Amino acid sequence: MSEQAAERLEAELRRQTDAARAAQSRYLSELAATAAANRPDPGLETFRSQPEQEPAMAVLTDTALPAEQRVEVLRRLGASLSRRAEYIEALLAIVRDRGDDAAVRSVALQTLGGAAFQVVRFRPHQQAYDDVLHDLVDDPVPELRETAVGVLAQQHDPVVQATLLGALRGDGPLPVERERAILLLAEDDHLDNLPWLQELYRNDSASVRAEAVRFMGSYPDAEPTLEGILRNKDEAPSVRQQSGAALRFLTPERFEAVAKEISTDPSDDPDVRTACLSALQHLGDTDRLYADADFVNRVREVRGDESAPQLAQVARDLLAQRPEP
Amino acid sequence: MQIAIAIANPDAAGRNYLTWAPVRATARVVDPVGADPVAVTVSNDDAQAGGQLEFAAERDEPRTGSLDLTLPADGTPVEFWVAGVVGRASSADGDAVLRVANPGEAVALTTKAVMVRVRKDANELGAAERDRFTTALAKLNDQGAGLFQNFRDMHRQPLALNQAHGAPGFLSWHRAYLLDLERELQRIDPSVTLPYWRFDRPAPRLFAADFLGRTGPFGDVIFSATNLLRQWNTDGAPGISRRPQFNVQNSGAFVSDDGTTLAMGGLPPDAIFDTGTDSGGFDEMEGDPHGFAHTSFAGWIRSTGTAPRDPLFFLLHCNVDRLWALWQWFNNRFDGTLPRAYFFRGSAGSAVATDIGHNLLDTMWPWNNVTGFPRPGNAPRTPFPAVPTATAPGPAPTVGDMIDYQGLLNAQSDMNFAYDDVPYGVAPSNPPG
Amino acid sequence: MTAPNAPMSETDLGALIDRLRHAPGGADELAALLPESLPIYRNRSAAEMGRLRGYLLAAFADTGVPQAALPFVLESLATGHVAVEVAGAAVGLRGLAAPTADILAALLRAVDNLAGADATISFEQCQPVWPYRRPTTALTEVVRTVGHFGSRAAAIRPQLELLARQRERFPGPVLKEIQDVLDRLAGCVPEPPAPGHSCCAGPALREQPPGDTTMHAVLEDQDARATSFGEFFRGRPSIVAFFYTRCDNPYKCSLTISKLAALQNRLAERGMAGAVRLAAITYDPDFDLPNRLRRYGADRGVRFGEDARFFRVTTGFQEIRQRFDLGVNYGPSTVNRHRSEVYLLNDEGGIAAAFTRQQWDVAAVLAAVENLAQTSSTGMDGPSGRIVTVWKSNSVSSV
Repeated sequence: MSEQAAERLEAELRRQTDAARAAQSRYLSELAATAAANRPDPGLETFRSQPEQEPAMAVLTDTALPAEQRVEVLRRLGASLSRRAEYIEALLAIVRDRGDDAAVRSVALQTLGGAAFQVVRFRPHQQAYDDVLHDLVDDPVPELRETAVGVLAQQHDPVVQATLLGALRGDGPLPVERERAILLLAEDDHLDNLPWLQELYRNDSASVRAEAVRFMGSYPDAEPTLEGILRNKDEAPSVRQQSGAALRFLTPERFEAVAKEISTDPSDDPDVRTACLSALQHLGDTDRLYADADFVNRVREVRGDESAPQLAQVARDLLAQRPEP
Repeated sequence: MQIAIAIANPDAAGRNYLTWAPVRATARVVDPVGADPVAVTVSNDDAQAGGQLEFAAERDEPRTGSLDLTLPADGTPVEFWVAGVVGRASSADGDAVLRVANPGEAVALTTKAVMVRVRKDANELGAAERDRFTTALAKLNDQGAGLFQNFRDMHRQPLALNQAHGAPGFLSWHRAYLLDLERELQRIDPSVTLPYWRFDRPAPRLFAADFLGRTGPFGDVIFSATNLLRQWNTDGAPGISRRPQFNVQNSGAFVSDDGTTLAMGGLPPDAIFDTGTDSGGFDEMEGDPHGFAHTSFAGWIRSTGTAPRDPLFFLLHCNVDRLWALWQWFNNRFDGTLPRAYFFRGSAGSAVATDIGHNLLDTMWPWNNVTGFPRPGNAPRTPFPAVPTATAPGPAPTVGDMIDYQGLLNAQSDMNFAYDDVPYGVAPSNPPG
Repeated sequence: MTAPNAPMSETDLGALIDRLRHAPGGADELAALLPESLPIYRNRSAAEMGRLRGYLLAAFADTGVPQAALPFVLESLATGHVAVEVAGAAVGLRGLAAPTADILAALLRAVDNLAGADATISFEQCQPVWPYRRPTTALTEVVRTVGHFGSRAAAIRPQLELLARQRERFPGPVLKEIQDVLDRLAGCVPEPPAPGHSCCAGPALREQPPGDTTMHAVLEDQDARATSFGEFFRGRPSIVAFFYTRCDNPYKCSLTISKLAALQNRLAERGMAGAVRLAAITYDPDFDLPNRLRRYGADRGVRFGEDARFFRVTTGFQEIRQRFDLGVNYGPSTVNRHRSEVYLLNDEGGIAAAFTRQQWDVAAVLAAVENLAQTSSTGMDGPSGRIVTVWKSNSVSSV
């Protein structure tokens, strides 16, 4: 980079950082003014903080202030606030408080989630954070319920799993949509998910069916179902493609046989054919693939099919990469 | 008459991959005509197309678009230095072509095709670059059977996560993590680099079916028929769970912008990496923008133990690393032995130390192959992969080894990666240290 | 007592545990419920198994801990990764008056294992409903158990003091529990732990049953090559571990296979690479296809070859399960619980030694291999040419 270009870049970064600092400084002044204008919460003397953080906590914890103002504290200062143990406790209290504004609670939860990434620093609070998530499972605010249930389910939390399973069986209310509940349980392949996924597959939405099929890919017992879906020309292409991926994971050899048929079947959907051929081209035993002379001949017939240009291109690429005999 | 060009650190196939860091090269006469020295000019073969190169006679001299050399007739090599031009990276392997010609003549005596290979903004990638990346990544994953699962397993259990989070080694560990992955991708396709996700800006082309997937009405992540990432599989389960909580078409994630991030830890010349306390250093960026980028989604990327199951994780962290690189350039922070570049400058046994794996002289798990509490029980990736294009960071890098990634202080530290918008060197007005 | 065979709901099994904890002879009847391979544990989810295990172990606090139960308790402390299970083991140990040294070591190990894995749990009932009326945490219960042992836990006072100083690692209530224990220890006269080892109690190995058809079981290895059990496991001694690639407990399968790779290296260093075969057999043959077996082993350092192979059993898995009396059970989709198990087989494929349930030690397995070699060479085999031995060491149990 020329010296002039470097100088221009430095000048631009200076401008950006100076502007950021100035904006931060203005904001902190506004915060201090807002905090001073309101009665201080007697609990604040417990916050041993840097000067700018004490007004921030005063504004954040003042439920009389507009929610937007409190959310802005979290957006602008939430990360630095959550590096201190006492402030994390305050954030947890905000999330737990069902009387507080939903938007503030939601962003506080998001802030805590970001703090949780600082694993070593967050460790003393992890269990309290999990407890708050458990508390949110029956929270009146749907967004909070969904977030909590999602995070816990991904961790294979047994408490939320028991709640979801019981609710699906009719024992208690579902904290999230039925479809979502099934998919969240499916995050743990050590549960008996296949019957629920089979129920989900009967859904009207192709999007839902695609997700059901995706998670079926953890269960060898689902292989016949997945092959059937992949072959089903009446099923949405997106669902069939997902089924192909799941089938390939469970039984690569069976997928290979089916994919060879579908990819060279001119009556089948071009996208499904393309996905099958692409998987054959890049993954698995390509030596065996190229040794199948009959298949290679069928691919040759595909390469000039301009009614399916993407498929034709994949066919040409596959043939071009074939090793010399 | 023939001229031979050799550029240091070629790969096994003799190809060269350059960044912005200068690399040693030589030119020599192969079949002299007469005994007189030969005057040549080294330049770019096509100044309009492809990656662009610049040259210097000495490593630390200013570089120019052409360089005049005088080559002895006896074939003695003449040294020069070559690097990519910032802002003119390659978009395909071998599209940066060095030419040697007699001065003023159009006909080249010899050419050498190389690649100026740097990490780029994912949202700005061309279709071919994007497809090469997604294909290489999908092959590394190999539907769960590939090496990718090792990378996932490095970021899973609590003891593993301790090695890399919540303490100042966060940035070094993840820099090594990304480079390890990138080098494995380059074994599959040497033209590939890890792109970064500029999370403070909209990235609609990234969250699309042709790239990392478009999220459908029910949170299904949809890939196009030719996108091999549809075969993605981690932990024995197909697909990806990801639902952005922001509008990916017209908004960035819920993060601070680059200017705010770069201002963390103070401004030049006083900027500090970490202070040894809760706050005051650049390492606070682990919370914002890093943590907030993660929590701008529902799905795997929202939680530490599941985040690397989503390939977006690596593009997110590539931007985190880019921000660190930019901060380093802006503030001249390449010498880890200086207080402002790293606070805990000893090792885990030092008088003033933090958690193991986060002191400057600590080696980093898993590459150090140290297992057993407080390290995890096994080491999924060890040693750190050696590549012909760079000798650094070595088989068991320390936290400190990851700081001088372009070889500014020590040429041997050059790790052969760079960012398209982060130049080599330091910002002009910064004093050393 | 014979454990019930009929299916029982989790609620009913919890009620049974509650009855037994207050019944005469309940300790032995509870201990009879511990083996994970019992039919009552079939078709349960892994989560259910964790809850039941924790609740069952905690019941020993009321009944006392019979010898037969101790290896199970130590297993859950040292290799449990689910908070309720670890907590149950810790609580159950309060049925002992005095700990052995390995019990104290296991409690400390549990503290390390719970880093990042602690959770709020409750034993108010087998399936507690949130919010819990009597919440506690696994770390809290581990520390309280140390306190329960009082002066007999003095040997680990230095480790407790170290934990007390790690203020960034633990939440306030746990730190307070640790300090309470230290305060009590400061005021008492230290006593040594009880003598002996707790890990190794249990029945002797089973003899190979008559009419055993295991040798004909068909195996497929990591390269999709077929062989039979007899073909691979006869002719030379071998070491075989059981595992599955979807195991989510970092202290079990992943560690087992990593140690198997370490064992392979040690055998090679001693020039025994070809003399002893190495193998691992998956509990999950339908899912663990050859490429998964290969990847799993290679990732953990195993070098595959003619004498080092991973297998899935394509025919005859039930026979193998019975022959080894495998400590495994299955939910509707996959394994729901298993113990750590590694076996030394003699050159006729008979079980010469078993390393089960506790964390096994590479050195102990090597010693067993060398002992087997010496025993074979001195002709001390039994009349059938098989050896059945139980090894008494810290790392070996035969439960």
